[in-house]
Amino acid sequence: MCPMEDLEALVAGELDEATEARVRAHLAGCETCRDELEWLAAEAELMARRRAAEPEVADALWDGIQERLARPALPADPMRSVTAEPVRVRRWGMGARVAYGSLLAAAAAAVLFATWPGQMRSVPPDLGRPSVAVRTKQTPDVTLDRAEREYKDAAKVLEAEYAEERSRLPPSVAERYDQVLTKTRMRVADARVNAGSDVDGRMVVLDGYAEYLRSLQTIVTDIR
Amino acid sequence: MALDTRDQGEALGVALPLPALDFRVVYDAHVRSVRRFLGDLLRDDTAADEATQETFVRAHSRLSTLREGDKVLPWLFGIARNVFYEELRARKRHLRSIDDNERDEEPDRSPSPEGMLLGVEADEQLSAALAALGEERRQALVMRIDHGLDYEEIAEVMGWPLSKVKNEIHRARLVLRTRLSKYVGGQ
Repeated sequence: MCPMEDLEALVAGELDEATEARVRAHLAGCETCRDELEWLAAEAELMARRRAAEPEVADALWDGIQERLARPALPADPMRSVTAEPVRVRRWGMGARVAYGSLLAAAAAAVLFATWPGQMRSVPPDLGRPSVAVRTKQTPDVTLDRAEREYKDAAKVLEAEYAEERSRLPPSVAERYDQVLTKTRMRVADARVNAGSDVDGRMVVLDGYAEYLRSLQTIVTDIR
Repeated sequence: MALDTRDQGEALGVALPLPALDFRVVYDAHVRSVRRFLGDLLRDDTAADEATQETFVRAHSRLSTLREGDKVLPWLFGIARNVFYEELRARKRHLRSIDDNERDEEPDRSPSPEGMLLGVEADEQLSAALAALGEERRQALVMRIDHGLDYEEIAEVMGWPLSKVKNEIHRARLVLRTRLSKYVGGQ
């Protein structure tokens, strides 16, 4: 029997000349395929008539979309099922806002070092805040450990937000986002291995965490 | 509003060299298909209109995720399906089971004596036949016979292996033909 796709393409007029000739030659000697072709043609006619009979989409549909896009974000409707996505565009959940608050605190704590007189470092500038220098009596390692923990905690919250949103993505898009995030995580892991106890190296690690959190932020915002 | 694709690319550390998609162009090109698809799923005009709006609102925020070569209509159908299932859960409607068991339902109207392919009657029987299919089987079938998606695209939207797509569409067609056989000339 002819492949179904060939018969469907024949009905739709999409076969090239050579393939059409081959299929028609087969049909001449195959009643099963001729019956199948007749059904496919009837099916196509019914669907075409159905499409032609449907009313035009109302202008109000577009107007409604524009209105919704222009709305400010509102809390989710509590009457909807907890598994249903709120109708309105969501901003970051409370978890993500707490995560980012921790991140900023970690960034401030990572700026040091009282035991090294006069030595001040600035917050990694790409966090979007003015540089902040803090003199602390803690050792650099303790400060950097705390900062790294804060970054990791912030990442966990954002990863949970992403995991929640990911199921709504087409599989190919989710896979691409996963690849981006995996690549960034691996850079952080490599930096951590290379840094050892070197302060500058550990600052590179924190920069890597900041980049990872920015990626998560961008992806989650984009999904929503 | 989603970032421009280049800004996004920089933020993500990857190259996304896509031309920006115009939302109105996407809407005009595909709203009828999306609305008809959701109408077949929800079988309620008001609900289908609302779900269509929701689909395009979501699509608006995700346009920049499309890569060159991505097909827009299957992508929109993926969003529409999610909207549909969320609507089902929100309304707590008891519909036909999602495991694709067809109802043993007879058409609402008796066939005309002529038994030919007649306009209104055959169209009504087609609608009844589609409505009687299981949810997912109906989705796959209309994507194929109404919207012209190829089997690979349907597999992507449904999250099915290709073999399942072909099998489900074949079974759906058998159901349709059983119900429509009186209306296809001479059969």
